[in-house]
Amino acid sequence: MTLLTVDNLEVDVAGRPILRGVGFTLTRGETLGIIGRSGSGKSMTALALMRLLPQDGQARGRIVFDGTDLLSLDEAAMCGIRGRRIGVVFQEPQSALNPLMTIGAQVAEGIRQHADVTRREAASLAAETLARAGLDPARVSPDRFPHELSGGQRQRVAIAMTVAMRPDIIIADEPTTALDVTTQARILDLLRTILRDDGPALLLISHDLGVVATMADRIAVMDEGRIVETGPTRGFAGRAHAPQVRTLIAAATLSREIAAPVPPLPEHTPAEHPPLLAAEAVSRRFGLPRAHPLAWRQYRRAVDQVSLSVQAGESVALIGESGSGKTTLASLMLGLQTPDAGRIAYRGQDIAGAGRDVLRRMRADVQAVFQDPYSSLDPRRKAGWIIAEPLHLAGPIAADERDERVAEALREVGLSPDDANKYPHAFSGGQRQRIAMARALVTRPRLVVLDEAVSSLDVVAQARILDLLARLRADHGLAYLFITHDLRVAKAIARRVAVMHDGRIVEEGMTAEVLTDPQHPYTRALLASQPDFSAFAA
Amino acid sequence: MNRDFLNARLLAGAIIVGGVCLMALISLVWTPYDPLKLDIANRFAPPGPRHWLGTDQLGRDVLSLLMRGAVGPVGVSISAVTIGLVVGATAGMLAASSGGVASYATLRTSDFLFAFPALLIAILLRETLGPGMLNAMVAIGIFYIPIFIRVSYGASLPVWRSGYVAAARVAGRGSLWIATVHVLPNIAGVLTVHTSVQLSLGVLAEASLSYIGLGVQPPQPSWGRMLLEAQTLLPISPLLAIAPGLAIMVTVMGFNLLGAGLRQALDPRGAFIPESEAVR
Repeated sequence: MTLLTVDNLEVDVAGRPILRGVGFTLTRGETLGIIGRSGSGKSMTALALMRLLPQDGQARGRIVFDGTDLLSLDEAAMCGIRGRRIGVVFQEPQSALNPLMTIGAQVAEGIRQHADVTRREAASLAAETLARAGLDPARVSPDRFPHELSGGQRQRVAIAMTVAMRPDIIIADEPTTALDVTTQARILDLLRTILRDDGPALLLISHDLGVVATMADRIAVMDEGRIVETGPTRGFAGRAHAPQVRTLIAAATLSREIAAPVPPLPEHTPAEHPPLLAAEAVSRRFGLPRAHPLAWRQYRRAVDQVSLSVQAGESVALIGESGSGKTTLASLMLGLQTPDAGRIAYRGQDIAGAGRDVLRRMRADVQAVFQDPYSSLDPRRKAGWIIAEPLHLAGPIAADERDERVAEALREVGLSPDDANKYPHAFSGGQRQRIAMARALVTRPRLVVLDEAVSSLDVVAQARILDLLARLRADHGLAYLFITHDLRVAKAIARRVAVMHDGRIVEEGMTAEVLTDPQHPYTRALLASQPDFSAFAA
Repeated sequence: MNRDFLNARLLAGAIIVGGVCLMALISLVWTPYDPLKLDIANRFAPPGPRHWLGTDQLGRDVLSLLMRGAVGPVGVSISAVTIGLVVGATAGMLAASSGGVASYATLRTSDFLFAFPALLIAILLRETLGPGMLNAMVAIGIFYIPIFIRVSYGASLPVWRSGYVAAARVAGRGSLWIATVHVLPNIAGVLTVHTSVQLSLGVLAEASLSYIGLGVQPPQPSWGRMLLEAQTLLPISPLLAIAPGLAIMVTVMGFNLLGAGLRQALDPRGAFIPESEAVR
């Protein structure tokens, strides 16, 4: 039975066309996955269904839900449908919750909005729903505030708020994008349980093909405001014809895009060749807030006795979820923080006691690309200036030679030398990450540390950057230390992986061996939470 | 909001502030009459073609007094804010960069300074160094330091934690380079707006200090002391109080308009939306 029919939906925002001729149906109990790149119109579709478009947004077409056209309803009638019959889970649980209300009160508020119940009934219903969403009241009391919960727990609260009213349709817009893989897997399990128990239809929006492939009965692919392909999940990959879909699938499975394979490592004898960069039993701890002013300060060990080395020309992936200490380790190895114990050695020399010359050579040799492409470029400097910043390491340099090096770096990362005169805000996320890469390459380094350098990009942009990294490695014999929470990415780029958990490296070895025969329980959990493409690809 | 209106505020503020500063500068080389010359025979002359704003109880030309009287508030305000800005912004920026003990010490020192009212500092300085314009500058300047420490600390903290500062460190740049090349330009907007607002408070502060005799010393004229002297003469010649009062009000309003206009013009959210954000 058809619950929702969207017919020729068109949306303009501020006069710009955003959606064109979008049409799909959703039957009771069905899960429809909508995938597409960032900016393809997925989220705008969800907002249009809820009639929550931005103020200057205009929607035309028909959205028929249970016999009524939602676009013809007035705001008051719409309020009766939002939350009660169509519920939404947003990407960022942090901003979806009110920081000043306890989680129990927030869930209860939604219940009282739509159902005629007493305060006490609403509270007990809220507690029940939170328990159903996997927040055991014995461990996570409904009296807690959002900031006392982890990201995954907050998303459970958001889901509880949505399912409390047992809506007919749940719209989940990137519900797990902000979470790491193991948490993501648990949230997806929760959604499956709710689908089984309550039987609502689910509209799952994601740029992550893996999430959609494991959850959806049917898939719709969006590109530039249109639905370019739609069909059942089983065998979707085999049937898809639209070129955008093929690109998306290839990018998500990283099957085709990585052109250059991981090269074999030249033979090393460790005694003669100390590793390019090594952490030797380093520890770093952070002070926690004191319980009261006279209390002893408690410390948390972010990095605990970790040793990790990178040989020249070698690619190493450091895997772990958020909070495992991998970013702290990277920052120690880059010399941005000083270890409390242990040492960081560059070509066998401790950088803590090293002179200026050694540090300059290390800085020129070891460069970095950081996670957030929006904060890693100074908004007040032009791209050319940003890329040239590390060049001073090689000593004074003439202006025309500097411009030549910048142009060369820009070409290297697939941008045009003319881009040197633009400010960062003129570039997309993927392009910004290329500029950051150009800045890292301009000194012709031997090692680039990439801290979650592709995780904020959509899959297609991700695949292109990984492709670029593989090519640069082939051309220049670069070594990479690749920090990621994404096993798929680690597998594509690294010869060796180290798995970090709670500040320690719990498993280390050749990528192929670790990922096929994991020893540590945490690595196994990590592998088990990888999405399964088999039905989708069949 | 209407951008033209905002630009109008900026323009109005700039014209008033520019006018007052110009007036103060001109008064140093030329005034209609010597503001210090007494002319007892001609005291309490009403406004007229010879004395546009009349004369005071000692026969001095009020317009000339008003012009020269601008030197105190404007000069003290600008130098005091400069002291506060240079010392405070530098300290705040460096405190944000280091964290740890140095940052703690800087912030606690600024809390300590906050605890003293400006007036108390001014009285303290007069007791130790004697009254005068220079001491008023220092007193108000000290009062400004913690304000600017707070502002620049808060504004620069996220900049120091940003990816591009980490990238600059990886590029081998030291703290001084990062502070001047990356941090300062990115907090300049906040500092500019704050400076113009504090300038208006500085004018008021100087006027108050002069009013209680801690600022510009006689016989040099100043708006604050003109108000004080006019107070007892209010029934005889209300204009003697109205003229400096209006001068203070207009100048303060000018700096406030300038600050409000700058805030709108420099706030990136009002100024432009980057394309990448517009899509979302």
